[in-house]
Amino acid sequence: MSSKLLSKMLAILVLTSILLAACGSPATEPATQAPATEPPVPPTATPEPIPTGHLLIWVQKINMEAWQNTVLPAFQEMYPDVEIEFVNNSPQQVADDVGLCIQGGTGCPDLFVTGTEYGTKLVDLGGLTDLTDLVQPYIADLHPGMLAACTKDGRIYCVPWDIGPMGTFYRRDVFEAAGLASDPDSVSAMIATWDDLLTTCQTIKAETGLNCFALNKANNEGYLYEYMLSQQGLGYFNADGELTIDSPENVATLEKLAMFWEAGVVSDTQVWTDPWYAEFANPVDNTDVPPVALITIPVWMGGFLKGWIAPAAVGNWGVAQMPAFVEGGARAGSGGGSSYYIPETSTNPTAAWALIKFLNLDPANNAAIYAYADIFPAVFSAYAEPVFEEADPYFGGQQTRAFFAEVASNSPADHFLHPYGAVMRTNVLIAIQKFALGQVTAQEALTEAEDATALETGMTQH
Amino acid sequence: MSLPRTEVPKKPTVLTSSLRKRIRQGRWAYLFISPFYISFAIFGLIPLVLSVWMSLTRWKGVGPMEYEGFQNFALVFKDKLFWKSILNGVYMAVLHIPILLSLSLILAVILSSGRVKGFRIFRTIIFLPFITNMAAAGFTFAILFNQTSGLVNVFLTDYLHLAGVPWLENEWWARISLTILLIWAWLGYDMVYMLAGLQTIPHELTEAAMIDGATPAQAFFYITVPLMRPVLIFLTITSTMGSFNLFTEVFALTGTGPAAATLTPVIRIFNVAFDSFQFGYAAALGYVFFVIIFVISLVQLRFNRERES
Repeated sequence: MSSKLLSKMLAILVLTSILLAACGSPATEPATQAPATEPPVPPTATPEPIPTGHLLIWVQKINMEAWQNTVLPAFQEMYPDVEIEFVNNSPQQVADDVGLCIQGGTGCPDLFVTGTEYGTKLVDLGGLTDLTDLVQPYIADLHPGMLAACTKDGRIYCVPWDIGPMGTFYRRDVFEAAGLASDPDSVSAMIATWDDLLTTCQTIKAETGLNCFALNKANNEGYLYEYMLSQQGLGYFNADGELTIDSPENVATLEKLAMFWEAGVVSDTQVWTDPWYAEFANPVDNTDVPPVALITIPVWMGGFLKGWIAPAAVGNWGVAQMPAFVEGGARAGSGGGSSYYIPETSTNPTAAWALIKFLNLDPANNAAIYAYADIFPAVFSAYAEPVFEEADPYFGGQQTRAFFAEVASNSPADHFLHPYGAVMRTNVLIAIQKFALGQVTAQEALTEAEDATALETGMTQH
Repeated sequence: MSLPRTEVPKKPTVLTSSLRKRIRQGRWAYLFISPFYISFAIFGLIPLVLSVWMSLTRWKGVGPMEYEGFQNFALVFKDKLFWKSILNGVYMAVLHIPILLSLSLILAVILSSGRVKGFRIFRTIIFLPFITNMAAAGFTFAILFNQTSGLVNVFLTDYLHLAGVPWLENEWWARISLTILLIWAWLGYDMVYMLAGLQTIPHELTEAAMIDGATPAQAFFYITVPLMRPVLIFLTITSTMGSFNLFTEVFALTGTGPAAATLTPVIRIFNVAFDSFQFGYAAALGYVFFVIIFVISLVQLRFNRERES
């Protein structure tokens, strides 16, 4: 075959492919989609249309099960013509898939739930339904930090569902084995600061030989570091949007974390692995994977402990306040959370909004979901529901819901939720791991992380 | 009844008539091969051309592309994480390719010697890991290599009374863990190529050498290995590219840690594109990565040609 003939063939093929590509679904604004500034659902002042039809929801399985086992049957009874279809995936996978479907212009669900730390970049990307007018009546009732992460240029693109007020979950049997008091008030007083916690950990180690908690070095996931920043109202950027990854406060926080490694009172177990779960579930005398005494983590850990990590340990766990960074400092912080989003290409925004209203903006329903799965409401009015005053038998009759409601009300506003949050986190995790392995100082590690983030994102350094 | 119209026919040029004739003659062949070229154009050629433009812009995957000239490329040279990932690719290639090729060649020689009963069974068993789902295999290896309760460390400490190894908790051990997974997964694939290569070597050569007094080891090193050079070169180049392109293996086993010790260029590019929607910068990283792989492959080819000559 001659080269000219080949060239002509190739040209024809390229033209054909361009034509085929042009015939495909448009990348933006399909005919059925609602304009961003005019949501298809009318404001609450006018009668709302009755939701009907198919509703495709992308959500992680535990959230779906929480709805199904609490209030979703009532929604389906109220709107029998709404046919709900679930596709389960992890929050990160849901966000990744939604990013692709927004960029591809097709294939998005009618409604999805994802972690707000992942959703922030989707809000920045565009392609989500503007919910400003619909959310307006509820703004004062929603967690302001999470609502800010739903907002771009003054418009609201998601509805916060849950937040992660922090507590210290501890094992009464380990405290008792170490000869320490095990009631929540005593433990809270005992671990008033991180320095006090270190002293307690040293006592536990000396008396029982057990580690206080897990704090992996090489694959550290940065959770505890972020929680410590959160309680100080810090994060990776400041209110002006400037990077603060290597601020003196952040460096001091990372150095504070290191004292637990230096004291040898923590295990090197990686989070979300079988040995990590075993450390919570195993009895005090287990020598294969000895248990740990406690973990400082958001409220949702209670659901995991009850549900599948240590369901048999009824009455053995208690919840104390997280230690303060300095004496008299805040003993409240927040970690994570999730929100509801409706893509612009949703074919059933009416039913999607009706479901959000029913599950999330109705305080009683939201509280019922919380009571079932420890997914803590970002809707303040839910805290007034009777369920918040109930004692939790799993935690030895402690009123843990009221405890977390108080923590949620006192948590400082932190700075983690950002469209470039994943870039910041990637660089900070590498910094923590390098520091933990003794390769660099805390200052060097965080400066390198900040420089790398600034270079990649173009953000200003403080 | 109408009279036939008298039209003056256009005289076709030699070229067009030849082209038409050739297209007409081969129309069915063109039709049958066209799906590949059409899909290649849509999914390969057009994205390739677009990504050149994309690499010169700032673009989130939707909305307008903002032209930035060569700013993205300038950024690549300051990106420490990307260069670390390139270095990781070099480490992974050096760690696993010599072992993988040696083992696969030795196994192929043993299996093709005719002295192994159940040759097909062994070949199948060795090949099986290659068709195993890599995500599942990676997670399984992660459980096996767990520092606290993994079976490998349990065996080392409880049965051999040795110290446990921080398989996934140390930069070099994490790379070694990945090397073990790669060798396990790719041994069968490379061995099949080796077996095919061995069939092209006449038995008479080895037999003549043995009659002349060569030992089996001498026959292997002086006859088999030199004659297998084309296969070895091919597998070295493809394995080198594979070392830089590791993705699922890393995600499932090490998650790019510790401290990005197992981060590969492909994962770095993926993260830039999908974690922060910086498609322009990701495209620039992709092109720089392509040039690096191209140069490494050229150097390998040139080195082997020189040795041959």
